Amino acid sequence: MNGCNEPNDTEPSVNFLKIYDDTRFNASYIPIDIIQTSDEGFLILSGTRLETSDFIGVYVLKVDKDGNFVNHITFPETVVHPVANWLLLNDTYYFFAMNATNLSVELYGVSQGGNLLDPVPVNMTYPLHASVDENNFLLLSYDNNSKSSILSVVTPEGNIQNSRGFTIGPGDDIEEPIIDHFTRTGRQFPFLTGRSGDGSYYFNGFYNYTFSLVFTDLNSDDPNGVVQGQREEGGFSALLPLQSSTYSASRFNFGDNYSLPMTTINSTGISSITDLGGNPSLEWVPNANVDIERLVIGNIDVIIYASTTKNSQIMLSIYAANDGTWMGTEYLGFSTHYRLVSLTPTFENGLAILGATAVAGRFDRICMFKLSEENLVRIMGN
Amino acid sequence: MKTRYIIILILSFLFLLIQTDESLAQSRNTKKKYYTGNQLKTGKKQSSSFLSQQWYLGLIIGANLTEPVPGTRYSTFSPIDKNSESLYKSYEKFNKIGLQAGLDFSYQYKMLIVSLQPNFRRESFAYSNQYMWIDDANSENTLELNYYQEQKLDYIEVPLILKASFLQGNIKPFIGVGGYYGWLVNANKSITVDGIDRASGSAYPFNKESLSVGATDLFVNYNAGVLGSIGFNYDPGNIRLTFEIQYRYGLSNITNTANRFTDNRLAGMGDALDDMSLNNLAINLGVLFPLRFLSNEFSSSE
Repeated sequence: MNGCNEPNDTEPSVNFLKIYDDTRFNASYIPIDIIQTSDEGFLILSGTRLETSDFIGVYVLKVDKDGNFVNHITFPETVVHPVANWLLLNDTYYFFAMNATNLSVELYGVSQGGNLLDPVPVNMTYPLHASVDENNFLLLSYDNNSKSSILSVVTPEGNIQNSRGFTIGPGDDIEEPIIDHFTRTGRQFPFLTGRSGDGSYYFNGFYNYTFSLVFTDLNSDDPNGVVQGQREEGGFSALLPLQSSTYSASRFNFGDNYSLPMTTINSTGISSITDLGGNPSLEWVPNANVDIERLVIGNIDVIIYASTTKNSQIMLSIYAANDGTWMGTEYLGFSTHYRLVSLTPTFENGLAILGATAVAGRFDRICMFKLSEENLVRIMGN
Repeated sequence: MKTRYIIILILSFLFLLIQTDESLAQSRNTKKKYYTGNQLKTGKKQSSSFLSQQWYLGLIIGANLTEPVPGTRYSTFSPIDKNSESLYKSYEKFNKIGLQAGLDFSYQYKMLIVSLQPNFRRESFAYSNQYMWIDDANSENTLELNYYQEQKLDYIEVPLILKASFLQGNIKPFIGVGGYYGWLVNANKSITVDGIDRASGSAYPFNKESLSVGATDLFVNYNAGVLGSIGFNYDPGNIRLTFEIQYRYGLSNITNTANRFTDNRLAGMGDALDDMSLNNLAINLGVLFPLRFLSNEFSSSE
């Protein structure tokens, strides 16, 4: 006999799965991002299907530390297309969305108390991705007049501090996948923004007919460097700067996926993404959505990859951050299908995993896994 | 933890009661005489302490019914448009028959009997969940799903019971109290799903689908509690027949809280075990054999 496995009094906030169900037949949720709040609960940013618009509506869900529903905000249909990420700045959780009428960008904030702040207009259109950049935000948007990907530094007050446009190339063909991305009638592209280890800004988006990783100092209309993809059929699916020019990354290429736990990316000059190689990730769905987070688990600095398998499970792979060696893999889900949306580290060195599932095989709902540090250590085999 | 200490304390106390200076079972002698319970009780005016005690070893079999007692409720689903209590499971009480079989090793001293009854037992219980989704634009469009989930838990259990026997004659009623500690050796879950889809143009009923899965990881590997018993012993001759009704009151949470969500392959259906203890009503039939006999010279046979 084994020793007794005692119930843990701190459970269930340690490990859980929650599916946020809505008894309304035609309610449909499209989760986008998750962030842990100061009360150890979570804010979930989601879209909802709208019957009156090509775009998705905005829905914010607050849950407690055990994953139980607390409250929610359903935005009016005049606000659409919320974009990743949640942006924590000055104790406020921000996200960008779009005005359904004039397609302009709006910045929304949710206070620590869960109250929605007044929207802040931003003089940009078609938001694609945003991240925190020191005391401001880095926003990637699309300007369909100049047919450019626009990377901007935006203040919490909505002012544009700096901005540069990078042409996607003339012609309607290259614009079509971007519009399809917005209307969700086509592929969802892994638009990204951030700063590299050497301080350069980067965005993952369309540039010069190709879905590319573009480096810029925002002082010139020409990029400092470009890692070209394969038109819209290849590019980075996730990117995490480690140090200097070293990254953890994943890429897609005509449906195939590759993980690169530790790779060097040149932020100057022009290079091709196919030259980076990588480990074939055959289990992942074609052109998989991937999220990468860096955590310290059991005093070990690790990189965690998450994606969706062809069996509709969420797959976690853990690599050592110092040399990129594989340490363990875990699959979430068995008989029920799950799709990865995003990851966020928790305050206790655990991991919260936002996913999507279809309840009863029909109803698109938000789901969330929470794994403790102990559970992650177990996955690593230590 | 406190529960386990109480159980261990009770079991230790009862065990000490059976620690006598008498040796354990003695071998049969060709000229031995069975000393019946009646004679034990009356002492037959024999002064020897030998005459007031007896050891028994035998077999018991029986059936049991289980009542799950939920504590904190859990569900994988967290409803955003209704009260979470609407997802509470509906438990069936004393509705599933389980079986048990084992040994009865008893020591009787005058009117007191201490029984150790190691046994293998299966305890079963069931609960159901109902879910419904409604089209808010057309309330006739609904989907209704019903999950019926039966659990079968196999334990190797060691109850220790102190019984007080009374009345004379061949039939001697008794009452008893004790404690038990069980080790989980296996657990299975079977799920039956049915429902009605009224959104597909007609009231389309789902065929019943059944799924059985191993569920040992969903439960902790022990179960402990206290028990009370009532029954009678019948001594027709050189054997003792026993009939006993036991009521077990579970003191421990049988749910493995660490695996409630993450290791549950059924979690996607909304299933997460509640914290719960098990009460159990069992009927035992047994046949016991005395282990101590008297020689013709009226001395104990060793």
